[in-house]
Amino acid sequence: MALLQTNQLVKKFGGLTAVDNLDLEVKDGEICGLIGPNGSGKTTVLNVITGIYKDDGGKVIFDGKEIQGLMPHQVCEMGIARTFQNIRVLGSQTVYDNVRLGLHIRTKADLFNIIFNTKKVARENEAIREEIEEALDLVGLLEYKNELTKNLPYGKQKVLEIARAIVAKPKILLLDEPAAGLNTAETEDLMDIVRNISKRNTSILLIEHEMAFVEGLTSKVYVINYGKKIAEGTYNEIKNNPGVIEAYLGRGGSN
Amino acid sequence: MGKAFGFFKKNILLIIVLLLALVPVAGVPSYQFYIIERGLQNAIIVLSLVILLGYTGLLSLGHAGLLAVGAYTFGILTVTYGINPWIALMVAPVVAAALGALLGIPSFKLSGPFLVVTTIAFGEIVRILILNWEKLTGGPYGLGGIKSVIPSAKGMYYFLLVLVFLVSVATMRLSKSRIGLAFKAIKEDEVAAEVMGVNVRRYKLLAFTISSFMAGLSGALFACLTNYLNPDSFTFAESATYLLMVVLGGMANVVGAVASALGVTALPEVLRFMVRSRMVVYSLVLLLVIRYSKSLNMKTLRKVLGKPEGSTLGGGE
Repeated sequence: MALLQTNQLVKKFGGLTAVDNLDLEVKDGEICGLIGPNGSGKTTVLNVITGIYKDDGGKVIFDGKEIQGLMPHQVCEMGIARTFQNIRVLGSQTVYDNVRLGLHIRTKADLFNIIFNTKKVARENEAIREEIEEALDLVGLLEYKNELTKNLPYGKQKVLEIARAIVAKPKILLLDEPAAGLNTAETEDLMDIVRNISKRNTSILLIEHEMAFVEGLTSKVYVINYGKKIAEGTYNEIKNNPGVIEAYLGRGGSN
Repeated sequence: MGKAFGFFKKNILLIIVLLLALVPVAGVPSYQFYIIERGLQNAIIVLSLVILLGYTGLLSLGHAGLLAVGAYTFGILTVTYGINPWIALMVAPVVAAALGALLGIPSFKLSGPFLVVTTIAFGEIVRILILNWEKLTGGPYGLGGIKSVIPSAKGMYYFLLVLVFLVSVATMRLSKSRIGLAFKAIKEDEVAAEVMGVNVRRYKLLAFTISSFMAGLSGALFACLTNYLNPDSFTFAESATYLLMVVLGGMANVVGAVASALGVTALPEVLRFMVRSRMVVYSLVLLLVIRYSKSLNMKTLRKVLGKPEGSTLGGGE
């Protein structure tokens, strides 16, 4: 059964149709890829799914419910977490606190309990510590937990965003170009991390330009161009698709 | 020595409070004593800005208006309606919080300088209302005969000191909590906060409400200290002074806020011997502190004031 599905999804910016009647489907436990040339509308798809942009038609169905038009925080509560192409971590907070933000929806301490520092707060903080440390360990950042985030190198900030997303215990994780800007070793580590997350029964939809990454991880790939789906299938199926090659490289000369 | 410094740093709030507790024993002249009391009362409104500006990144220059709401609520309830001052002291912050929550609504859509202008307008509206609603507030003649919750000066001083301590501790706890983290996430990256499940509108409203509650409390205490209220005490200049205090204190720093509130309140009085050049020196001292203090984070203020919201949404694709 499809966990996440878009149905004839449309997003327009003025006269430009950034997402054009798009049908996507991510099944339970699957890792799907979303690829396409620059400017083809991939990030816009994620922004519409997560509620940052309002759609202009069509449906987003998640776990059997229509979620288009919900606010981003509501989408998060439904069980969709994401990372960003240009990192959005909290630079002046510690690495630990960045991951703690991911637990916002799963913690319950209210103002009263916080101000009077009740046992409930202490218990909750204790309960989440283990989870935060486990997530940091998974992405290899445990030793940096008390470091200020802005002092981390780019690659580490990127995986920190992933740690922050997974502690929210999402049913699906949307990764926006997770390998962009990483070196070869970091990319390989990242593939292991993504595989590990997938094993925890989290579906993944990833946008990526790094084709080795897509090939190594995904069981299904969607290719879009100008917001339209131009191909879908396994990586090997779409690799030789003439439409895909044309979208990336242009039409070959006939002479 | 490092250890001793660590102890000092960890307990600095307690040390400051204990030192201040010695003031009445030391036999400080009554005017100076009153200035320290005013400093403590200011500390509470500056702490309210720590939460709003320092944590959440929302700048209000209308807090004098909220102070006025707290002060006049206390004054009107006790003088006009003869209500018990302790009850009035509890009602005043609630009234300010309710109005402050309304002030928070524009922050859903407005940010940076646009929100600042809205809060300035709020402050002015409150002041002009007080000035013209003579029947209720006494208008330009002011509202006199206000009795403090604690008549004895010493008793009031200790009461203020305990309140400042408790509010400081509560603010620190808030800072460390999930709510504080949500506030800070909103300040640093609203989109990231929202995508991680923070209901940005709700939390902005919460920040405004908490902050206004504290401003109202400070206002009621102001009424207790001065026993007389006049719209001139709640001008835009006052709001700007509170902003100055919170910035000097390091914006998100509780102890810094308390120290800065006490220092900036006392400074013009300390300089009183200079008679005419007093305000020039006052301004100069503040300018130098701002220019040369290492702990001040002007980048944050610049960001709060200048950055238009939602400049990039992960785009660039």
